[in-house]
Amino acid sequence: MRIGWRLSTTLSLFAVTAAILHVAPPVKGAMSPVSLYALPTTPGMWSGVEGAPEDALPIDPNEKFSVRRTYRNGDRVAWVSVALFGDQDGEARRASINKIYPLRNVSIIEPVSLIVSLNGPVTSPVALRAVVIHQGSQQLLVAYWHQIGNQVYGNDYRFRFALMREVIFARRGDSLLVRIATPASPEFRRADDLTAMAELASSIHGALTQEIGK
Amino acid sequence: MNPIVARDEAVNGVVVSNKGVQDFVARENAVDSAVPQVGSTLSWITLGVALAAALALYAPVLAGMPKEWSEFPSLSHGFAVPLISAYLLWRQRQLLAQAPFEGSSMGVPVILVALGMLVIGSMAGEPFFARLSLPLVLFGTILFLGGPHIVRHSWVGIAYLVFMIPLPYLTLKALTYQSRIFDAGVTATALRWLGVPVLRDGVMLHLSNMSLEVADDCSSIPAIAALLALGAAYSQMQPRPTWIRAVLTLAAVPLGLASNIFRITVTAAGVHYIGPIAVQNVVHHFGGTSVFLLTVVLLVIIDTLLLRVGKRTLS
Repeated sequence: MRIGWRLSTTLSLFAVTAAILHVAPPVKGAMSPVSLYALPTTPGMWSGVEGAPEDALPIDPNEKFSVRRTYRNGDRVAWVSVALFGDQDGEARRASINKIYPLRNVSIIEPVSLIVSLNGPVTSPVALRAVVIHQGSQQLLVAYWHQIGNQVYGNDYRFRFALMREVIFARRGDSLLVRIATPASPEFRRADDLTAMAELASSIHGALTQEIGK
Repeated sequence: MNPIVARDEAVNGVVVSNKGVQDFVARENAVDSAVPQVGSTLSWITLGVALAAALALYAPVLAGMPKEWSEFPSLSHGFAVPLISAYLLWRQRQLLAQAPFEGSSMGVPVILVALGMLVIGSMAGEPFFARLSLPLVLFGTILFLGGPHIVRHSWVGIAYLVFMIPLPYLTLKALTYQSRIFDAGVTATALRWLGVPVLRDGVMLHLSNMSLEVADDCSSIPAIAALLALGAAYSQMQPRPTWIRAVLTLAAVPLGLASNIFRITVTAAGVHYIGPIAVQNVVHHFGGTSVFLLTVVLLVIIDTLLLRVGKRTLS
């Protein structure tokens, strides 16, 4: 009977697990797509118009909603996309890492350091993920972050763990992916690009956070 | 063992006490009950039911794997893994049949950890986490119902299932990109040694007559993933000392890398000397297969050399 008892224990554990998985409430979205319109049209010295080229910032078919803008500041141009991803308890509804920056005819993806002091309720420097994409003679600087509520994640793995925690315990699965792209200058002027990008990132984050925090 | 009825007997009018015999039998029976029993048919059926229930529980997280195996070349070896795993268990059938069946409670925490991983992975939509717990739950179930002796003869077959689980895409993508950069760099160096003029720009190899991109499919990662599984299977199927098995399994990684770079170098040199037809032919399209075959040959050579070294050391 000893083995029978062990079998019953094992099957009971399996049954309880199946029940937990079965009765788990569905994942909901808490963020309103309207909050994406908080993306300012004139952040600081920049002025923006609707739309951004897909060559610079690919459109992810998984995004639920997005606002895309082109900003200019003198002779400098930057493209911004703020996309909402929802119900991310499945791989198919998450931001694809193949759609964050262009990958076609790319010879090098060069990581660069971009530490931004973000405005918002809590001022804290955050290391954002930034890369220079080499496409033949052209170079594109792309920086991005994921945002769950007001919390910014510059690291993909940290974001995935935070999303896991959010999905399991709060059964909420929405997040923002904010991307900024700008044509990259030659390496000796890279610092200027990064400064301009940091300034734009800070303004965008401040506006979004204010709206989401309402 | 035949039952002995303890009684006093009269031999030549002298009563001989059977108490000593009684004590001996009692001791023997005690020893018999302490020795674990070889698994009866019922025990095996019980274990089979538990394992089948585990597989049924995991059906939703396993269902998507064949699609991923067929979709990504780096994962196509996944189809072979369950079969090889079953074969590795089948090879142990005689040892398993003789092994004593004595379930261990140590299996319970293992099952609980695995089920926790399944719940977290399933609820959060992280299939890697959920799938990784399958070998663990099988291991825990066998330990709980069958015991350490059964585990000892079956763990290799169960652990082998890990090779069928696709890595998280985020990690796979990062590894693949690093591998492309590395492969392109080594290939460019090799081409220069061969006298082929080449300009390397990241993953691009600019030859005098054509530019080649070391694409995701050309990276060594698919080769390494498949060859690690192959190396592990090959080493387990041969009666070899543990150290040779370990070397053969680990050797698959550098061998896969080297043979893939060899393939890219030959292709690029072919483009330089023959023309673009070198990348537009059947041989290039079956590049993965050629790498695989080349590595199998190299594995056999290494195995033979290691066996000779082993024999010399023993003698």
